[in-house]
Amino acid sequence: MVQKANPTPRPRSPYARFYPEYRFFAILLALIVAYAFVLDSPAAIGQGLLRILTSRSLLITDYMLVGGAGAMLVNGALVGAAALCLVFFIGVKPNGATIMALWMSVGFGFFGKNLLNMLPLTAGVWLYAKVQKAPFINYSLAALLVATLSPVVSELAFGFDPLHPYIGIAFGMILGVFAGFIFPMLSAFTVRVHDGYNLYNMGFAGGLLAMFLVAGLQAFDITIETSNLWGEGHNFEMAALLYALCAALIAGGFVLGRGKNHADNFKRIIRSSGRLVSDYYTLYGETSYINMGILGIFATTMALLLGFSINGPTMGGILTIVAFGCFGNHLRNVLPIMAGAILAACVNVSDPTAPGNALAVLFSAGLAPISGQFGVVWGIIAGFVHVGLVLHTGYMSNGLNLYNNGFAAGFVALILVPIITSLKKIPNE
Amino acid sequence: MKHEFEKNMRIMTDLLIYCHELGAADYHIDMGRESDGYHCCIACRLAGIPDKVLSELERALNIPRQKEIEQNFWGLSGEVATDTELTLVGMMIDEATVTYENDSLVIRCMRSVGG
Repeated sequence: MVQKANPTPRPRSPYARFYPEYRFFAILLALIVAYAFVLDSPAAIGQGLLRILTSRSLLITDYMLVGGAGAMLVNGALVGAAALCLVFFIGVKPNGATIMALWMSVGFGFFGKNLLNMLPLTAGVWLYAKVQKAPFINYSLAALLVATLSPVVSELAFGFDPLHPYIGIAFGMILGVFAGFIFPMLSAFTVRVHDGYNLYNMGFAGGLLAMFLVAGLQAFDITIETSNLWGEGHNFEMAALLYALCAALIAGGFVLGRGKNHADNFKRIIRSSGRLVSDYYTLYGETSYINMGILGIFATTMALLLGFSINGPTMGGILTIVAFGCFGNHLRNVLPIMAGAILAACVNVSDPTAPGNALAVLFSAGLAPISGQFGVVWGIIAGFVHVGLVLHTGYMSNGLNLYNNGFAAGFVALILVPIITSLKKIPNE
Repeated sequence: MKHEFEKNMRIMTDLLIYCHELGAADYHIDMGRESDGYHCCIACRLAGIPDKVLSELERALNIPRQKEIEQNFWGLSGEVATDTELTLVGMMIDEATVTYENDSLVIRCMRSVGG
């Protein structure tokens, strides 16, 4: 017989909210910042940050190219720190979704998110919570991940020459608040569309909203010029950082999870499908850090072997796989999807290492639950289809949605899952 | 919170799907609202549940309530015939008891309202 304990009351002391998990994350952010100052001087980082904050930030805008490697890393760490402050002040207890969102924030802080463009969106989510008369903590996940629409703010603020700068910034902020207000309603609905087989559900919601925003702007003759800023030449430095972060995660898993049966927990993780909601951190604790580290080492190695440039966007892709290591991803469900995606990248018209292909391969891991639930063959098919679709969804949202691969993955899951479930025999029926 | 009744129905549906997948028969459902929240009870006849399955059920339902997860993902519960969302159910309820005696599985849940 099991009697579930009553939920622990939210701690009153602010310090008590700085859970060990958040302290561990803060230490890793500090390591990223320290490494940034090894790569670049403080003056160069400062100037680079200013260029990043005032960039259009559309997909694809590699902050390494815009501001330099050091500034890119500091920006990522600052965005991660802002996300950490948010969960700290509203008192979110650590769980798989929160840890995932923190790492996603860092990853996308390398190519699209910055402190200026994420704030109006978060404010919009807060406003929605106020209107609903609900605690903001209920919408904390939406508040963390609404920054998929960060380019909406930056593009309007800094991307239109005809607009006076102050008018552009004001317009960008207003539209950002509006998008943030709509986002929680949409993201709660879109998860039903793909039945949890798309881990990047926020990207799907963001893509739909971005599509409507693009249409609305075009109605007022406001067109968005696409961006393809892709940095190269820092593979060694960036790969070294990624490997170091992954090693730290694995070490953290063993040190913070002393006494846990990691082998047993890891087997359970690998056996799961990964479909939403697979909260590995809540279920298996620090073993999920080990899973995250292993996934990061795999993704980084794979990217290097395939010849991808290790820059802001690809680091974002790798850190997204790492992030979902505590919320749905593991090697068994990721490998078939990525195999299918790599196959598609090799046979389509673009170079396999082209930016679109590289990001599609890395972010195809969002469809991992399909291979986790339905097997290797369907996983390969899903990954293959995903690469073909992602280029088209990029056109629909015109770079306003950073989680564009999540947008594409939503459609892939929407089409494939009904086909698979209709063809598969269901036991006991 | 909104959609309270719909969420409760989905929790119950997920638990029913779970029992059905184990091969249960003779389902009995009891659900009601009291001052502290909604209560539901599912009882079914089910022979020979392995200890491993019971411990997985207990683990899933023993997860602390997480309203931020519930807000985003409640729509997934009670939807899919190929998989259950026991983890999500655990995150959406405050208390759960599981008893298995004489081939009878009884799952009781309580979910507070508000906040």
